[in-house]
Amino acid sequence: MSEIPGEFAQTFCDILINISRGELDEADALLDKQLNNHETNTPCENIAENLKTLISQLREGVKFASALSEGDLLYEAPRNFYLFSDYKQLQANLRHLTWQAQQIAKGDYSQNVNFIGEFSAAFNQMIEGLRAARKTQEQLKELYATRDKFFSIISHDLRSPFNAILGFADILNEEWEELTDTERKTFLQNIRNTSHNTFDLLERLLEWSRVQTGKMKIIPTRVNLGNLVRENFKLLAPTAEGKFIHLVSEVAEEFTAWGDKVAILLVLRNLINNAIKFTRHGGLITVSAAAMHKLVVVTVSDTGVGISAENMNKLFRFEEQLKTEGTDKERGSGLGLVLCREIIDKSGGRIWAESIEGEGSRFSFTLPLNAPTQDKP
Amino acid sequence: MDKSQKYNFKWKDLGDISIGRPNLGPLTQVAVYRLMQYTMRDILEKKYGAVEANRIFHDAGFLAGTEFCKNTLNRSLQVNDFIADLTQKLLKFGIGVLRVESADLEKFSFMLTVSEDLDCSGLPFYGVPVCDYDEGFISGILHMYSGRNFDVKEIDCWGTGERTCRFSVKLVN
Repeated sequence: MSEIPGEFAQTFCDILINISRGELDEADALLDKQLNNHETNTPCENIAENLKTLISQLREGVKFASALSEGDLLYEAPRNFYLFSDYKQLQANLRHLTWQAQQIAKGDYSQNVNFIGEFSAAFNQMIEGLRAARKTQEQLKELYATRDKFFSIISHDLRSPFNAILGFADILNEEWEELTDTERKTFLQNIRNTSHNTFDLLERLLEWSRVQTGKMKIIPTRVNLGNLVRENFKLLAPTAEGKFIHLVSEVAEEFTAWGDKVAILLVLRNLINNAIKFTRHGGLITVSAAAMHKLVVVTVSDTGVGISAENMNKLFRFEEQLKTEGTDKERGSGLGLVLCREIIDKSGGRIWAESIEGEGSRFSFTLPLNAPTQDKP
Repeated sequence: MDKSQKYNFKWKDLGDISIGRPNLGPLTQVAVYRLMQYTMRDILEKKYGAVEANRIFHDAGFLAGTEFCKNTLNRSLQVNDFIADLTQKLLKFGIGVLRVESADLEKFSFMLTVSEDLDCSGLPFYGVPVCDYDEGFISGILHMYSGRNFDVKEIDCWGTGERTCRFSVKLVN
């Protein structure tokens, strides 16, 4: 093995000291001197060449570190930069973090930062906060839309009938003597009918408002569906009889489900009432219930006029508030099905409709068959 | 050279691993994958030279990328969601940790990094990038997703002493 002469060893020691102090220019100058003064292909020259490479890498490393410290993430560090590959890793992480921040700024809150422990935790917490804020914003937007719709219903749907009632009342008040008995009776009937419809609308609005504000609490218990259907039939029989409509319950006497009694009663009443409204004289309305897996499917079907494809898409939607006259010109608030959907949603079920125009409709909703814990193995 | 082709790759050729390996399962060691990849490279370079071997690896990666995209990724997603899906799938299959450094969606150009890359992470220093297969793989995925052609170039690699592979992706006009 070749020996390194003593004076060279001293020079290399000096070079290493220069490097350790960061005095790279001085180290370079000593190396150049060494290389110029000695023969090629000697151990000294090999050591000097390798030290030159090391110094060159160190210079690049210093430049790179300086660029990073100044925030220049696009700095193009050279290849074969193995001594400072961790700097490059850091640069890659910072570039990715920048891209993620840009995506978050554009509203993509699905980003999950994985950079440095505490920093990532704080950053991800911030994204979580943004997600929550967006959710609140969306809920507020929905709430404002609902409020606007509520005011619009009050201003339009309540104002018009009151105008009519006032108009009829004014005529009766001012022209009582001139009117015939038949005319008086007609005006009084108009007042009664309009008041009845308006009261119905008010009731729906109040029920809907109670659901919206959480005042209508859904407290599920075991309920007898057969009883609820019978109770509704009793209430609605006079209306159905007025149109010679047959009400048939196919729900077994002891058939039960898991739900809130008052809420289900309300949903059934709305669906049966609607069915009566849209079924011609002499028609048939059937209520049935069946257990399917862990659910109960309740269906109200009629042999009525059915629903057009266009209107099917508008059912259950508050913003659409579909109002269609019944077969006997019955008026509706357009809120009944919206109310049903909200109640069934809150009861953990689903509601839907099927219809063939001219042949009839089927409105179905689901309820849990048992209390959630009862279904667990 | 015999130009007749007797085989065309199909995704189903990967086989039903659950039936075929009931005890060993779907996983193997990265070293085994690399053993195949680098012995293959050795033979290909000996037979066809380094440039042609690189091209073969690139083209095989491209075919793999198109099939991977077709069979595992949701191509109906918007770009950002597609990249998120791709990132998840690359993690799931243990291929690497994909990250986006920059993206110009108008020009369809990206700077991507892949850490813990299946092909190269942990390799000795060669002084040259070695992920030709990865270049083709990324290019194939993006081609299958967008119907366009991409030029994917590896800028940094474990083979050149880096800790993260960096790929520049540009749309080919």
